[in-house]
Amino acid sequence: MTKDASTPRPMKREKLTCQDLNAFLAAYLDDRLDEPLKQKFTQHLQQCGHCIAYVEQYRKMTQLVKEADECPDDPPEELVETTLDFLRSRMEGRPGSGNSR
Amino acid sequence: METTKQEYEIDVDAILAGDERAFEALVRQETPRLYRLIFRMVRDEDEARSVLQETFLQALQGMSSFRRDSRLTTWLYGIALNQARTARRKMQRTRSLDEQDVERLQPSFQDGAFRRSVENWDPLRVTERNERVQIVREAIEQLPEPYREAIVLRDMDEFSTTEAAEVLGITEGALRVRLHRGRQALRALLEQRLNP
Repeated sequence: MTKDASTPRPMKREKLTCQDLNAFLAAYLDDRLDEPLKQKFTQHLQQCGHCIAYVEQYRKMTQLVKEADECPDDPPEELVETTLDFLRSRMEGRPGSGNSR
Repeated sequence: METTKQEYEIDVDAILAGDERAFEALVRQETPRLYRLIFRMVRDEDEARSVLQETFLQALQGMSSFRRDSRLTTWLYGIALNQARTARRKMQRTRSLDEQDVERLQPSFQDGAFRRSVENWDPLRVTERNERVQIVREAIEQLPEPYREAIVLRDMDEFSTTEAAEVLGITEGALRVRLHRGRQALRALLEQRLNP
């Protein structure tokens, strides 16, 4: 993985602050923290009421986003055929078109 | 990068050689997921249909520019995303927040601790569901494009972090930064609306 500003780096400090925890939150939820950092993260999280509340609300943002999805599971039935018709009409007469149908 | 079952079914060589039946198979296979992605970006059925068709047309016409440095489907989703951006700009439904607004919506810290205490409210237990859904949709629409796209791809469309980053043409780390700032802005916007 490319190293950049968001790549979790080893922390020399014994304990994390709320700000440290916040900086690592997305990587933690993606399970991308190395084991020592993950341990410090969970240690802080178990002891800090502010972070417990914040992380819980943050997690629920993803649930709210999912809940707000209004997209149908399946596209309109005829969409594939109308798309193929559209492509055929646009490609008709072009060099190399119509050879395989 | 993990190769999915779907990728095995796409005959990339045949598509690149101009085999129309292979391209048709790609259209049949990818239309459902591609349509859902586009719909979530433009939130309009007719517009989503039009963007889908233009996406496949652009792919068909530009197949020679596909360099195999990503999966064919990732390349296709990248085209769709660009088409959807253009469509959204034409529609201009909602005024987006700007980068400074997003910065203001991030939590602030002093000496490593939250500057303001975090209120203990449950986003899933406030207000009635229909109203909540409407408020969340409006808040997502308000986010600047980079944050909205990251959240739609990763949290709504459930692309993996790797795949979402590839479609957006950024590193996984950069995607995580966008996601984090976007989610935090969303949380703050919803706190203003749902827990004033």
